[in-house]
Amino acid sequence: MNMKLTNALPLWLAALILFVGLGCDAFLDDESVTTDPNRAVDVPIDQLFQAIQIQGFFMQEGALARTVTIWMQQMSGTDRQLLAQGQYVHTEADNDDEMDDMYTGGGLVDFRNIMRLASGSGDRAYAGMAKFWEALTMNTGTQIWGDLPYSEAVRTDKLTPKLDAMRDIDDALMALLDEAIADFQSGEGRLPPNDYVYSGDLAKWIAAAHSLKARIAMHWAEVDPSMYTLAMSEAQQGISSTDGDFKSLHGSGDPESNDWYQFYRDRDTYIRSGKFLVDLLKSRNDPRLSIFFAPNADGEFVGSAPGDGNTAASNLSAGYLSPAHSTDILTFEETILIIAEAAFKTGDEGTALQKLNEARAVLEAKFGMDAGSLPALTGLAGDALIDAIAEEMYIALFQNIEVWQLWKRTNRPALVPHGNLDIPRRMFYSQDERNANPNIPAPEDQAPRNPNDPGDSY
Amino acid sequence: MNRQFMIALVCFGVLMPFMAFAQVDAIITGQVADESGAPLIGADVYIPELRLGGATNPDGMYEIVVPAAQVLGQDVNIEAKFIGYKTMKEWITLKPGKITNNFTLGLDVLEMETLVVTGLGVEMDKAKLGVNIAKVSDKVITNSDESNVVSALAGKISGVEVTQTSGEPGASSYIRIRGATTLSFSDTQPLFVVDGVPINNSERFGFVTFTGTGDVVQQNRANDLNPEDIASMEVLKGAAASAVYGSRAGNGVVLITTKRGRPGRPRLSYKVGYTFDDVKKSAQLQRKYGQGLNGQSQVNSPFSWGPDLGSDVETFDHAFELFETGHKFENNLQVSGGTEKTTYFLSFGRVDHDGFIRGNSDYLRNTVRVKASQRVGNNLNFSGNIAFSNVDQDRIQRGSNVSGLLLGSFRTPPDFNNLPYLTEEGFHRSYRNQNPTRQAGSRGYDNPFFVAKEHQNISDVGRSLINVSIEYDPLDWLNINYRFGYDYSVDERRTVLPIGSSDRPNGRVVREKLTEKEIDGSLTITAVKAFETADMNLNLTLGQNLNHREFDEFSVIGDNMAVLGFNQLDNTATIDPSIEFAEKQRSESYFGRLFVDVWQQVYLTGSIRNDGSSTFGKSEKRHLYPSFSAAWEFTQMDALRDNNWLNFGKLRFAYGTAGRQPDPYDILTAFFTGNFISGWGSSHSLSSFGTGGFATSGTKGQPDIKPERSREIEVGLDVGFWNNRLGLDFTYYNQKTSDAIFFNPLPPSTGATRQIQNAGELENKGIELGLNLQPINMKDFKWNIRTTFSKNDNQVTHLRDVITGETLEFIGLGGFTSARPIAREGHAVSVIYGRDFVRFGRGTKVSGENIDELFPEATAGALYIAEDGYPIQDPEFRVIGDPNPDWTGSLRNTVTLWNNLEVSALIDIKSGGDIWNGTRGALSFFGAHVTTADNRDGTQVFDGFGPGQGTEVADGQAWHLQNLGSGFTGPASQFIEDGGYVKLREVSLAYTFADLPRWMGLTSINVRASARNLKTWTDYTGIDPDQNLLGTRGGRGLDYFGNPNTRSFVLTTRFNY
Repeated sequence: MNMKLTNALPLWLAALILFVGLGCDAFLDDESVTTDPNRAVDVPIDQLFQAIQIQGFFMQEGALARTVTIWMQQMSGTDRQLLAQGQYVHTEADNDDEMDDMYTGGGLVDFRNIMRLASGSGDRAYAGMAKFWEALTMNTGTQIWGDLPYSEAVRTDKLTPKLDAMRDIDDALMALLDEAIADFQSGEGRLPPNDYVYSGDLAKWIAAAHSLKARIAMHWAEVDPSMYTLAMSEAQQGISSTDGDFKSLHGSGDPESNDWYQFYRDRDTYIRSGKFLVDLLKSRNDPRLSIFFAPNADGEFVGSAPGDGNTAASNLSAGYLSPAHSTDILTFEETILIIAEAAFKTGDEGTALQKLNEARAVLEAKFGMDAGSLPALTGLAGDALIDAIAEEMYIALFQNIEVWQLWKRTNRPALVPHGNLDIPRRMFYSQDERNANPNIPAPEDQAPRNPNDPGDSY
Repeated sequence: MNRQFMIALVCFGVLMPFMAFAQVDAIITGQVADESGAPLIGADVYIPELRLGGATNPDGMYEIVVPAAQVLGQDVNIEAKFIGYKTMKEWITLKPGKITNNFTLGLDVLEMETLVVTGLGVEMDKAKLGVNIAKVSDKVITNSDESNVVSALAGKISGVEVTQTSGEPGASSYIRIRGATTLSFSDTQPLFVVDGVPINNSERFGFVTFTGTGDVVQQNRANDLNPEDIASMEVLKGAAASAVYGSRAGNGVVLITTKRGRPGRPRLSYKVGYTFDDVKKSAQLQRKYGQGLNGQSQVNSPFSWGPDLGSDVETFDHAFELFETGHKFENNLQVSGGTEKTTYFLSFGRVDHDGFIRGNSDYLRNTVRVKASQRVGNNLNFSGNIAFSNVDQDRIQRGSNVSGLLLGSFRTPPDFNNLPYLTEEGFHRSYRNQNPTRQAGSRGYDNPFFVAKEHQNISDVGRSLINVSIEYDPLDWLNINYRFGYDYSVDERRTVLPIGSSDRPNGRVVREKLTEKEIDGSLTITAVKAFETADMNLNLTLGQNLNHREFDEFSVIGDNMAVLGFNQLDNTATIDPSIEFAEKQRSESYFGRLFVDVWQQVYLTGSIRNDGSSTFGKSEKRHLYPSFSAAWEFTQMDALRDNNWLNFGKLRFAYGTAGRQPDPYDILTAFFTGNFISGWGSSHSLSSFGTGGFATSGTKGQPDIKPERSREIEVGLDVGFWNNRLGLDFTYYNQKTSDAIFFNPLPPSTGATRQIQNAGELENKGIELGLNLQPINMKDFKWNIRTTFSKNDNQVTHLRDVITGETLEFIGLGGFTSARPIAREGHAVSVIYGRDFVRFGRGTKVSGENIDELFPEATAGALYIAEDGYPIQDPEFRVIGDPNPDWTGSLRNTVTLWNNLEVSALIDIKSGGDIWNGTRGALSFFGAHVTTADNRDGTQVFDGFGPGQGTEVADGQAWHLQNLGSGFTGPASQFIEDGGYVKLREVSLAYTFADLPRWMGLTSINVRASARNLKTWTDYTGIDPDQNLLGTRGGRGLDYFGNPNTRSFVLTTRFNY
C-alpha cells in the first residue's frame, strides 16, 4: 500500500492539480459572477418614463414644498428641523436630496435617456413629455437656486458642469417647450401606456406646455416687462379647464402614497397650518379653510405663527393627508391668474378684474364650494386689484412651490417674518454639488437673491 | 493459495507463545508539575512518534498506554506541554510494564513555546515568529462567559478593540484591529477562518428594514459558533502577518481552531451555566416637571416642559421601567477521544437567553459539532468537521426610530404612566396619544411597552459549516493537503410593526430571507527539509485556493394590517412588490511561503500570494501580496545562552501587504428599481400603479480600479527575565493604506452621485506593549499579572477628489447630518463633523464683521454672545470630536490558591475617545433630561464676549427648546463627551473539586462564579461609553437611544469524566 502510493505520487499530484485547477480561466470571468443581478443594463422607455413621473411628483410635493410653504406661511414648521426652518435656520445641507434628484436617476439624466430612445424609435409623444418634465423640473430648480448647471449637466464628457445663467436656462426651457409642443402636434409614434397625468391626451399636454411657458415668462416679467405679453399669449393657449390641471397621481398603498401623507405619518408634529393662511381664509370666509385644514383638538381652526412651534395648531385636513391625495402642480386657475396679473401690469385693469373673477368662479366649482362663496369682485382698481389677484393666486397655489415665486415677484401677500428676520429668497446650492463641483461658490459667496428678483417693489 | 494459508497458520501457531509473552502493554505514568511543585492540570503529554498521548488529571497525573505491539524496547521522545510553561522533552525506553516519568516545567510567561497557528494550515512555535500573533486559549474564551466568540476577545489582546452593539441576547459584536485601515462601509471586519476555511462573519442588515441609525441590532454570523468548541483563537493583527490571506486580509484575520479528539481514553465533559444580567445605569431623567409646555400642563404634548409636579403627583421611572433581570441557561456536552489512527470529537451546546428588556427579546442557540479523523495506512489522513447551529432570536427596535424602544420611553414625561399600554378597547396608547379612538394611526412615538411586547423582530437562522480534508504524506518531508469548506446559512426574518405603530400607523409585516454561501477549496503542498551540516531547516508551502461567495436576499412587505396580534402577511391588505438582492463573487489565488530556520536562532519567513478576484471587471484581476519577516532569538547566542538575568530575548522585524478588492458590481453602470427615498424617511416606489419603473443608478461604473493596499512594517522585541517569570513584549507598527477604495462623490449634476476610486491614503502608527509577571510562584499560592497597553494614531493622510484633482472635503460614514462621522484629510477616521457655537479665535464674521477684531480682549475659544445674551450657532461644519481612543489597556490579576481555587479580575481601560451623546441632546429638547430640571425657571449668564455679554437670560425651555440648547437644532458640539472608561470587565472565583469519591465516576468538578461588566468608571453621562449606534456599518462615536449593555453574573459547573 505504502510503496504503491509513493510510487504513484506524480500521478496523484497531477490528478489533484487537475481536479482543483479545472476550468480556472473561466472561474473569475464566468458570467454568473460578473453580471449584476440587481440592476438592469438596458431598460425600455416605458420603465424610464415611469420613473421620471414618480420622481417628478415627489420633487413637487416633497421637502422643497414643505420648506417653501413654511416660509410662505401657508404652513408652519412646529417641531425639530422644520421649526428651525420656520425660523429661517437654513443650511446648504438642508436640500441636498432635492437638488441632486433634479439631475440623477428619474431626473434630467433620464429625461435625456427617454429623448434618446424616443428619437431612435420615432415616438415623439414620449420625447415631448420628457421635454415637458425637463422644463417643469429645471424651472422649479431655477426659481429656487437661480443659476444652475444645465448645458453641461448629465454629459459624460463633463465631470464638473459649469453654472449657466438663470435666464439662459429659462430661455432654453421655453425653447424646449416649443419643441415639445411640436412633438405633441406631430402625433408621430406610440403613446405611453403609463402617462399618469393626462393618460396620453396630447391636447392637454399641449395646453399644459403653454401654461408652463406662461409661468416661466412670468418669472422674468419683473425684470423684463416684455414677458407679460408673452405670458399672456401663452396662457391664452394654456390649460382651459380644471380637467386639464397638471396634477400628481397617488394610490392608497404606502409605496404609491403622497409625500405629505408620508411625512405626516412619520413626523406628525413637525408641521401644522400656517397662521397667516388660516387667518386669511377666515377673514375671507373662504370654505377652503375646512377643505385644507382640520380643526385642532379644541375644535377650532388655529394656525401656528412663523417660528412659533405651536403643535396644537390645526393640521392638514383628512383629505389633504390622504395617501392618495393628488397635488396640483400647474392649474387652470394659475393660468387665468397669470393673464390677470399680466393684464394688470400692461395696463388693462378691466381684463385683470374679469380674469380674477373668472379664476374665483373656477375655484368655487373646483372645490365644490357653495355658490357665492367666492363672489365676483367689483370696483377693484390699482393696488387693491393687484393685491386681490396676488391673494387669489397665493391661496390657489396652496402647497405649490410656485407660491414662493409669486411672493418674490409681487411682494404680496405682505408676510410678517418671524423675529424681524428676512424670509429667504433662494436656497443654498446643495452641499453634495458644491463639495464635488468647483464651479459652485461657497454658501457665503452665494447671492441672497436670484437674478429675476431684484427688488421689493412691484 | 492454500499452501500459503497453511504456512501462515503454522507460523501463527509457532509464534503464539511469544506473542502472548509480548502481550504486555507499556504504561507510562507520572506527574507534570511546575517548579514550585504544584501539579499542572490539563497538560498535554505526547509521544509524537507513536501519535499517542493524554492529558493530566487534577492531580497532574497522566497515563499513556502503549499497546504491546508497539513496545519494542526502543527509545522514544515524550514531551509535556502546557500553555505558559516551557515544553519539556525527555527520552524514555519503551518496555512492557509500568514506566514512571515525571516532568517539571519551567515558566514561560511570554508563551514563546506555544504553538501558534499562522494561517494556511501552518503551526509554529511563537518563538520563531517574526510577527506579533496573539493567541487566546480555550480557557480564556470559555471563562469570558460570552456566548459570542467575538465578545470573548474583549480586553484580551493589545491593539484589538471589541465593541458589543448592545446587551440584548445574541447582539452583534465587532472588532477593530490597530485602528481603521479602510474607508469601506461594508468591509470593516477581519476575515474569520475556522480550521483553515474562511467563514462568514457578516452582520447583514435587511434592505427593507435597515435605516442606518434605527432598526434592530442584528447578529454577527460568527456568533453561530459555540465558544465551547474552540481550542484557540489567533489574531493576525497587521498586514505583515495577514498577507498570506491577501486581498481579504486588509482588516486583519482571526484564526479559529476547534477542539479535536486525542488518542487516549474517552473524555466527557458536561457544563451547565446560569447567567443573570441587568442594566445598572440608564439615562438620567428628571421627575420634577410634568407633561406640557410653558409650565402649563398639556395632554398629548411631546414635551416635559409642564408644571412643577410637587410631591403629590405620582411619577414613573421611565429610565428603568423597561428593564428586568435577564436569564440565560447554557448547557454543553462534549465527548472526545480516539486511538492513534482515529479521533473523534462530539459537542452539543444550547444557549437559552431571555433578555433584560421586558418583552420580546430572547435568543436560543442550539449547536452540534461532529469532528472525526481517520488515518488510512501510514500516510493518508481523512478528516471531517461538521457543525450545525440553529438560532432563534427576537429583537427590539431601537435608535432613531419613532417606533424604537428607548426613544419613546425616555421622552415620556414623568407623570405619564406607560402602563397599561393598551386602552380598555385594546388600542395602543402613548403619552402623545393618550386616548386613541382607533387602532390605526401614529402615536407620535410608540409606547415602549407596545414596542417591547407587540412588535416582533424575529430571526431564525440555520447554519452549517462543513470542513473536509484529505492529507497525504507520501514522503517524510512532503505533505499534501486538500481542504474543502462549505458554509451555508439562512436567516429568515419577520419584522412586524403592528397597526398603530408610529413608524407604520397602518401596520406592516416584512418577511426577509437572507441566504449566504461560501465554498472554499484549497490545496497546499508542504515540504520540510533539515540541513544538519548547515544547522538549517527549511519549510516550503505552495498552494492554490478557489473561493466562491454568494449572498441572496428576498423580501416581501405587506402593509395595512387588519388585526392586532396576527402577524402574518395574510393579515395585510397591500402586498408590495417583492424585493430581491443578490451578490456573487469569486477569487482564485496561488501562494507560497518559505520558512528558514538558521543556527536555531534566526528565523526567516517570506511569503507571496497572487490573488485574482471577479470583482475587478475589466481591470487587472490579479495582484501580488508579498510579505517578509525575520526573528532573531539572540539569547541563543553562546554569549547569552545560560545567563541568569535574561532568559529569553527575541528581536523581530516584519513587512507585509494585504488588501481589499472592490465590492461586487461597483464597476458597472446600470439602472435600479425599488424606491426613491428621501432623507426624511419617505419612499416612493418606482413600480407604482402596476408598471415597473427603472431609473439610472446613482453609482457610476468604474472600469479602471486597483485593489486597496495596506503596507505594514512591524518591529518588536520580546524578552523574558527572572527565570521567565517576567515577560515583556513590545511592538511598533507603521501601517499605510494606499489606493483606498471609496465612493468619490460626483457632482449630482453629472447625473450620478458617486463612483468608486482608488484615491485615499490612511496611516496607522502605534505601539503595543504586553507585560506578564508571576510575582509569586509557590506551590499553594500563585499570582499572575498580565497587562496590555496599546496606542494607535490614525490619520487620513490624503483624500483626493479625482474629479476636481483637489482634496476632498470629507467622506460621510453614516449617522446624522447634525453629527456625522466622517473621513477628512489630516484627521483620524470617523471624527465627528457638526456645528459649534460661534467662538473667538477663528476669524468668524457676524453680520459681516470679524468678531476677533471687534472684541480683541476675547480669549480664543470663548463664546460670542449676541445682543440678546445668548450665544449663536456657527453655520460652518467643523470637526467637533474624535471617537478614537488615546490609548487602551487592560490588567488581569489571577491568584491561585492550593492549586484549586482561582480568583481572577480583568480591568479594561479606554482613555479618551469622544462620543456624541445625542440621547442627552434630544432629552434636553423635550425637557426630559435631568439637567433641564436644575434651573428650569432660573436664568443663566453665558460666559463669553460680545454685545450681549453679561446679560441674564432665561434657561429652561427658552434655552433648550426654543434656542440653541436643543439637541436637534443647536450645535452638536455641546453634546460631545469624553467616552473614556475603566471597566471591571471580568471577576471570577473558581474552585476545582478533584479526588472525588469513586462512586461518582468523575475526575473533577469545576465550579465557577463570575461577574461581567460589574462596574464602569467613566465621566460619560450616557448609559455606556462602550457602544456604537452604527455598528459595523460606518463611523463610530454616536449614541442615540441605543439599547444598553448589561452587567451579568454567571454561575457555571463543569463535570469532567
